[in-house]
Amino acid sequence: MITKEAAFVSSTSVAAELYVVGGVARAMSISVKNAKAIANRAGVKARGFSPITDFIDEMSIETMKLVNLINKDSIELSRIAINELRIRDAVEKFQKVTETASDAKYISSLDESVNKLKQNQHEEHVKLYSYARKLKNLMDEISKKMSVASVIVCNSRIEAVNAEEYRSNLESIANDIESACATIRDRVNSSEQRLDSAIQQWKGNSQDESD
Amino acid sequence: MKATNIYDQRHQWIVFGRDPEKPDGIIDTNQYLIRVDDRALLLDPGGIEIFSSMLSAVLHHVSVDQITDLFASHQDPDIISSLGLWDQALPNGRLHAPWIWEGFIRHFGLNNIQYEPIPDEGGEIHLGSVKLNMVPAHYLHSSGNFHVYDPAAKILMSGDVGAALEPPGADMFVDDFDEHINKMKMFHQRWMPSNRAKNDWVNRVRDLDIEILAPQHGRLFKGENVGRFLDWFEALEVGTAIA
Ligand SMILES: [Fe+2]
Ligand SMILES: [Fe+2]
Repeated sequence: MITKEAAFVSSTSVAAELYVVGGVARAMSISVKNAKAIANRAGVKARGFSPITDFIDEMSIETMKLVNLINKDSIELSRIAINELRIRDAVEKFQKVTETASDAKYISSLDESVNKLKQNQHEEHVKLYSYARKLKNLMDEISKKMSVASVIVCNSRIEAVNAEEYRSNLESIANDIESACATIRDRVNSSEQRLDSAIQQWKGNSQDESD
Repeated sequence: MKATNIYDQRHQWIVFGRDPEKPDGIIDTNQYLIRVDDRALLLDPGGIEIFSSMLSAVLHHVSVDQITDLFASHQDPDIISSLGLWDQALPNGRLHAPWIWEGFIRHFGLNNIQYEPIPDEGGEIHLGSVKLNMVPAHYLHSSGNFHVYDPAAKILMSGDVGAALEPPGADMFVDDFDEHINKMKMFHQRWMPSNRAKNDWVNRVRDLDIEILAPQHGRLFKGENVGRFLDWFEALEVGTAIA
């Protein structure tokens, strides 16, 4: 599956995939505001519900912030990945020249350009790893938030039981939030996998580079 | 890639082409190198697909730091899509290309090489002691298009004008002009858009003293075949797709 995908495609897909997460987190924040309004109307019957909605609301806002950070970094990552691809292509072409024209009178004049290019490639790899690491940390943070959210949503179901005529409304909102959590978790997981496969490829390339 | 010396006096002209490693399905191209002492100019250095063969061939004649200038007659991929790679290979270079294509050609990748826009009326390239004229050839076929004339060598590098579609391994020079017409007629009728532009060009080029007319595809014209080509081209109806 995605292990076959080119590294620059994987890293660019991460940006797109996580952009969707931002939208889901926004929808989650709206659901939670609805839940809050219902809980207010329900008064004492939904007393236990309010702190839960406050918590989830705060968390969805934090998730959106994280997604914004991720967005910037993942766009930068994909820019560097494409640059790395272009440099690698040039290195390959130059290497071919040094093989096919090994007897050419001026072949050594290419050395400086090749060295400079390899230096650039190395610098791009360093940047790629550092951005990839940063992104993975941010994604981990989101995943952790989603695990906590799932537990909180379970609690909210227990509270919803006491809310009598508001019960079904609150339960359907809890369902919405739960499925939002699941979607975010899925997206983040598949983004992490894509990122890992890209990192593997870059590692392979920097191996070639040191050969 | 085959390299052929077409002028070898105080400075040299070398044509590179007939690349046996060229992938199928891409048009064969002639790339030209002018060497003056320790400096060199590449004319229409070619597409990305032939870059490795081209650089391999060039390094038999000059070093990368000696290539100070590139020239692109127009913006086509077979002319200059290799630019992003030359940009990484040449430590100091200038690209002379039509001003109207600057924003377009930069899409091929240009970080180190300096873009020198050629104004519509043309200009000169000073390559050491040799002065080369950039002759306007607009709408032949590109709307911003130049040829390079070397008055000392009496060579006109004529871009797509004079181009022929030939099977691989064709000779470097036209021997039988009449037979050659078949290989270039459709190309000129279909790729060249304007009879007015064509006649204007023929009139101006007739004033130049040309020993070799050197197109970017197919065989070169030498001696009397240059005049034959100009007569033939003048009489040809072009822009036939809407005729
Ligand atoms: Fe063209
Ligand atoms: Fe062409």
